[in-house]
Amino acid sequence: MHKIIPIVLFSIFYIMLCFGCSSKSTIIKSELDKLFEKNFEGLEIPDVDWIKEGELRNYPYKTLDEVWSAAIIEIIQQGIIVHALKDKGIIVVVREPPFALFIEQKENVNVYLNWMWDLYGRRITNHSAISKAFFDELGLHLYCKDKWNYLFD
Amino acid sequence: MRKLTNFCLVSLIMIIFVCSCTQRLPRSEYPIQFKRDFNASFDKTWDAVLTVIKRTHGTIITKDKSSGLIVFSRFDSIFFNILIMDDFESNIATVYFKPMTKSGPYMRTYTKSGKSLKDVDVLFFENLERTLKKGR
Repeated sequence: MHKIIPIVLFSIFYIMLCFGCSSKSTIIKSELDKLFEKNFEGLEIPDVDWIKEGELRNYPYKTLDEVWSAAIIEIIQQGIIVHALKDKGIIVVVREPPFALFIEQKENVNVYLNWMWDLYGRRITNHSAISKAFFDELGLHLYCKDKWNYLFD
Repeated sequence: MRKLTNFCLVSLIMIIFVCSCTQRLPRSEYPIQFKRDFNASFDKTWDAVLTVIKRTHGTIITKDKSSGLIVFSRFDSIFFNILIMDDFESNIATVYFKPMTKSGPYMRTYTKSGKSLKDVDVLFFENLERTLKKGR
């Protein structure tokens, strides 16, 4: 009897160990993860009206072409551009978190930015700091030659 | 006398610490290339970039000729943002090249000795240059 108890205990321990190792952890994939697997096929391009609900910064004394090109140069260093159409003024950028831009020529050139939380699967709190940094970088790119012309001669 | 000895000891330790921190970092044989100018028109450069992508079996994710933008991915989950900008006066096309991954900018691979390998940016620009020369 004394010999059987350790064998039984060891067997139970061994079975538990095997089950513990073979259990699969479930990874919850966001919409973004799924799109990465499909090379962004089937990505829904957001509406202009929806993008306009986001943050806005305007850039006076600049043309739409200048702002568009500067925005693209800035964005390619920050994320993957998964959609860009100059005619419609929309750029969709995948980074952490992903966002969409709408650029339009009015009295000034307006740049709207809205975060794509549904695609990302969660929200972050400091998003306004990230968008401010992006708008500031874009501004710096656009106006640096006017402000510090002597650096570019 | 004791204070002087302590001061000398502390100074010696600080000098050793500073010297060990200022060790030179290894220099890469292939510096990272973000942009490069080519003596070619915008259209020729655009076509050459598409040829390079096709040759490397890349999958185009988006392209917009009016912006000069092409984004493609490779089998190894590296995404490439390519921007072509032209200068009509000098007939020079500037090509920007930025590789990215899902988690952020693509990091170059380095050997154990600290030397960087000839990497995606260098290979892409070499490939593009060869394609443009062939097309002339």
